[in-house]
Amino acid sequence: MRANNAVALASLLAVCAVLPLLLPSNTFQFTIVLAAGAAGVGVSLLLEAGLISFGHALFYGVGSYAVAALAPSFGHFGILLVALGAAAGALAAGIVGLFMVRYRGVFFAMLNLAISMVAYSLLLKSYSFSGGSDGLPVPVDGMFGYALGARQFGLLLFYVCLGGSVLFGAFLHRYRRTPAGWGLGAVEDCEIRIEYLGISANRVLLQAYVISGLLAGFGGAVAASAVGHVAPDSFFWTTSTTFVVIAVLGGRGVVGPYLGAVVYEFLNIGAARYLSNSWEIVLGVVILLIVRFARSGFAGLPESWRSASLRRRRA
Amino acid sequence: MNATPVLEAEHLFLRFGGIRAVHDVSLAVAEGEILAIIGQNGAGKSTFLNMCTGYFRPQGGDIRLAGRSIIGLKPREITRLGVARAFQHPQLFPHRRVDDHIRFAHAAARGGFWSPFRPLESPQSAEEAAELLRFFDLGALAALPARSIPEGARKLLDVAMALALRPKLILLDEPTSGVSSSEKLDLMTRLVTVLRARRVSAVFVEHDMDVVARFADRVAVWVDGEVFRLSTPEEVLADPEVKARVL
Repeated sequence: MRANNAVALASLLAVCAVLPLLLPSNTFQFTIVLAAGAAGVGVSLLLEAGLISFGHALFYGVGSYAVAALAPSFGHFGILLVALGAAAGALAAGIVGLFMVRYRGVFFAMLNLAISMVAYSLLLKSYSFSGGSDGLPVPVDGMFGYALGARQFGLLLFYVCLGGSVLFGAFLHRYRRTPAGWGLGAVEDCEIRIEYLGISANRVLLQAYVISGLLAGFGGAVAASAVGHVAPDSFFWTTSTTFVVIAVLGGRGVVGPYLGAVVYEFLNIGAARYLSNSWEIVLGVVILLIVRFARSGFAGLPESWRSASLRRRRA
Repeated sequence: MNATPVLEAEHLFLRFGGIRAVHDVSLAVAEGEILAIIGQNGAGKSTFLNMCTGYFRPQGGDIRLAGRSIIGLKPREITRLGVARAFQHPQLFPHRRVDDHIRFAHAAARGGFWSPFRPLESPQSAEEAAELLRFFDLGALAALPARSIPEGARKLLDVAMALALRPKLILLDEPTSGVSSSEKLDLMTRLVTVLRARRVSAVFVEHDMDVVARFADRVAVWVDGEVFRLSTPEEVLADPEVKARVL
């Protein structure tokens, strides 16, 4: 990592860390942004292989419901629940991925969507297990084994989520430099060459799919703990689309989708306040601008500016 | 020299609908041997390579690598048994650095590929990349993305990547196509030097008879899906029937 990038990242983390102290009433929103950003990073990871998933709500939902199912027994151990929710997302991705990584392009996108919608329908029908459309309460009130007040719990959950995001970010930074991480982008470039190097392209994708499920499960587990309730909507296709929009807005990488999540959530909140039910118009305009002027998303803006500046100087 | 051939094909047979692509082909490649395959377009030369790498499954006959049948194995499984392939049209990763191609191939051939913690860049992979790039005179292009290098260099990189797998056998489909005539001999000299140094057997499909005469140990002449002649370059290229039907 270049020194400039390291300084920028450290500054960004420092700002994130003090935000709930400066704006305590917004701690919940900050936590939700981090949760959605984690799921967005998962979707963005698959974008590196040229695959777009419209079904990552499945792993987000699995993470959420895992927390809801375990919360009555481990309600004071929020950190354990978040870890188990992330693991459940990864496990679900490992199972679904065995089938999914055989497909590419639109088939991959649509099959992901189909499986998440099947899970959504099953959840709605399984009232005794899932609470149907009413969902389930998530009685989590502690993080390390003892009960906390709502405010302290919310603050601690934010920092657990921030810490988890930093850990995942460091892991992904390293993973991209491994042969399998490098091979992920190579799958999009020339899959046949990978096979002729003795490597299974499907296995490269499966590894990334499990990691992306882990991230979505982590996001779902954090969101469920923060909201205190889960509903089948977390499996619905609109949730998956949210993660895709976040990944497109933010761009590839680790930081980008978090920026995408910030913009998405605060557009959602801000525009909904002033434009009532038509906030999607604002979102649509932002997406249009991104697609037109910054195809690499927010994360790619500095590089685009650098390239444009170089071109101007050469001209 | 090892008594068991590196590659043995026995009574191979493959049809595409009504077209006889490969018919009763039997040949063997010894350790360290360089075999050229010549023949007109559509004679079944590339189909033979595709069968040896598992891309096509023969409808009859057997292919053995060091005595082990590879019929029914996938290309990646055959690669792991020690068969590398370079393509007529280089199969590269256009957005990736030239030297990373070699590092990736090096990692693919060794343990630890799937570890989420072991980096692509290791002292061994750096050494292999430096050696192969130096050998193929690609050192100056090491940091460039593959899409931005000339076609001749792309061809060399494709071969270098195959060699980074440290194969026992390399299959080369028209290694000098798309390379200027002045660069062909240089490319083949470099390639054959590496093959000899590493005792790698090779089968290469070629249309340039000068290249065949200089670099092949034996030549298989392919006509209508069959091996029409199999002998030394001197004998094959002097054969009047070969001249009439192929050259």
